[in-house]
This record gives sequence, C-alpha cells and structure tokens, in this order.
Amino acid sequence: MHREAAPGKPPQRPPVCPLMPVLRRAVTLLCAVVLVAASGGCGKRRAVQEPSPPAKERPALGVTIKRSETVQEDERGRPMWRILAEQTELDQAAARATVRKGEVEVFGEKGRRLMLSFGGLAANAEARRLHAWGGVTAKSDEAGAWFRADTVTVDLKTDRVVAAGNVQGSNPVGSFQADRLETDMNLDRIRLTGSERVTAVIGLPQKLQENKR
Amino acid sequence: MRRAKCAWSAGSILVLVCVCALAAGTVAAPDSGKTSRTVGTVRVTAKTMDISDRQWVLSGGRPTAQTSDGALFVEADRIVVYLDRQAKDRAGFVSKVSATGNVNVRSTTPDGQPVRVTARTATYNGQDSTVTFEGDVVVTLASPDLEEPGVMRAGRVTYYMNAGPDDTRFRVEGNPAEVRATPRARPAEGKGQGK
Repeated sequence: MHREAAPGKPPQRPPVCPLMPVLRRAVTLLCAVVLVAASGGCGKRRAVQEPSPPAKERPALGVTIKRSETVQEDERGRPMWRILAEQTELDQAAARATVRKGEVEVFGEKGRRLMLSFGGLAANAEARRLHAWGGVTAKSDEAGAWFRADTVTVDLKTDRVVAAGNVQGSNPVGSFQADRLETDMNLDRIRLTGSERVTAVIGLPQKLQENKR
Repeated sequence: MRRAKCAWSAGSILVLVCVCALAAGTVAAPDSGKTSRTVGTVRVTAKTMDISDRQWVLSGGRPTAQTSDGALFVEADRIVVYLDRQAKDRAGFVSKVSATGNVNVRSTTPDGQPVRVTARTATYNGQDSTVTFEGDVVVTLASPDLEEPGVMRAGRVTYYMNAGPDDTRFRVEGNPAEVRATPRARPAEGKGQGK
C-alpha cells in the first residue's frame, strides 16, 4: 500500500519496511551475543593459541644468600643440619633450600655426624631429607669411614643414606668400589652393590681422606 | 706329599690307596710352620657386600677372595671374612674366612706347586694358617715327583699352608679316604713301560 502526501503539507518520511525494527533488534541482539561470547568463552581458546608464559615456581621471597651458614632445626629445636654454602636460595617458609657448592654437616639421632661436600644440594626440612649431587664426598670421623659418589641422599626420617654412581671409599678395615652404597647415619654397616661386581681390598684401609675441595 | 720311597719301583706305578682313615688322618700335624705365609690383605669381589669393621659378607655372582700374595684364591656361593681389629700383628687381622656352597680353591704350596680343592665348605683359620675343607672334598696336587697330579678324595681335608717340605701338608680324613698318585719314573729304573 502506498501513501501519498497531501497537498500543502510537508512531505512525509519515505516509506519504511515494516520489518526494519525487527531486523534492527535482531542485529543488536546478535552484536550483544557476539560481544558476550568474545569476552567470555572465547577467551579460553585465545589463551591456548597464544604462547603461555613459562610456569615458574613461586620464587620464595627471592631470598638468595651468599656465603652463608644455615642451621636447620627440627620441630623440637634440635639441629638437623648445618649448611655452609657459597650460595643458598630459600623458599618462602625457608623449609626448602637449594644450595650451590658447599658443605653440610648432618646430625643423626645418636649424636653421630655425617659431613657432606657437594656441587649442589637440595635440602627439604619438612621431609627431613637432603639430596646432594655433583661429586659428593661423605665422611664420618666417628666411624672412620668415607665415600665418594655422584649423588648422595640422606633421609633423616628413616636414618638411611644412599649413594649412587661411581661409589668408592673405605672404612677402618678396607676400601671398596661399587655402583651403589646403602648405610645408616652411623656408617657402621654398609651394603655395597654393583651392576657388574663390587671390588674391595680388606686389610689395606685407605686413610680417612679429608675433603679438600 | 712326600716322595714315594718304598716299593714303588719299576717305572711309573699307578697307586690306588684306599685308606680307612677312621678319623685318624694320614699324618700328624706340623710341629711348627717353617715358612711364614699369612693372609695379610684380601682382595674380594662379589655382586653384593655387607661390610662392617668386624666382618665382610660377600654374596651374589660367585664371590671371590684372593690373598695379596696370590697364595690362596677362593670362589664360592657365599664368603664371609672375619676381622680382628685388635690383632697384634698383620697375620691375625684376617682371623677367619668362611666359604660355603660349591667351594673352589686354588693355592700354591710354599715350594710353588699348584693345589686345587673343591668342597662344600672351606674355612681358613688365621691363627694357625690352616684351611679346613669339608663335604665331598677333592684335592688335586701337582708335584715334580708325580707323573700326573695326585688326587685325594675325602670327607674332610685340612691344608696346612705354612707346612715346610718335611712337614705334613694335608690331613685327610674320610671313611674311606682315597689317595691316588702316579710317581714319576726314575731314570735309573727306566726300563719300565713308562707308566
């Protein structure tokens, strides 16, 4: 149906499709939906496509200590170990420490002490556990024994010391070479195992060697 | 083993002696060791070693133990070396070596003759430098006086490591014990058939 303007009256607006308002609303609604989707659900997709920043452990307060002496005590206030290190990094609760190049004196339950020198050390006070690597030397003056290995793990909860990789050392009555060594903090009884063979000489003990690294 | 002097005359004779030793042994123990062979240091190998300052237990992979002078080599299923840190001299430091299971021992007498022994068990005693073998013992001993190595079979054999040339070297006990030796032919009696 077409309407004409009456004479003498201003011309009327051009005819409009009756569906226009509906279309406008539909377009507006569509835009709104697109905007909502873009700001919500699509974000996940974009995050996958973009390179995510590398996951980092929380830098524990960023504490790095140079040439330090750190004594770690247990819940009863007794010292578990004392670390002398070139560099120590502590976490937030100071329960875990990563140490570069140093020595740690580990205190056993019966007053025995084990001295480790190392290239690297991870000390976890909550787990009461030390893991040393990088040409580790361990010695006990009380037991008159020492050994050297690639890695050494000391677990104070179970009173176990495990050394692995190119193990060599001596006790008061002999010297030995093995792939793996298991003992306790006292170093009284030592179990040596080898993938091939353990070799040892009984009766010619090497003297207790001081760690001069 | 002493040189046969008696009636083993013409050439080589195969001697089979079945000795009903009845725990008496063939000869008496040596009065004194005229040589001083003692186990000073011992080189050992094994898959697993459990060590302390009193004893070393070797197991797995046929453990071996060898004295530094090479006088004694032991291979067995399990070897235990007992140590005496209070010993006054080096000789007493290794107080005892116990080997069990398919024991195989190689040794040399003070005059350099090779000895091989197999047994179920062997025990070295550091105080008197003896090795006692027990259980299906077979001793093979070479000697310039024998055409071929002599063989002894017995239930128990004691080997005196320090025995001099005129001393008892082996005490053989069995029921019966068997000693088999073939004396070497003497040049003056060389008309025999050689064996």
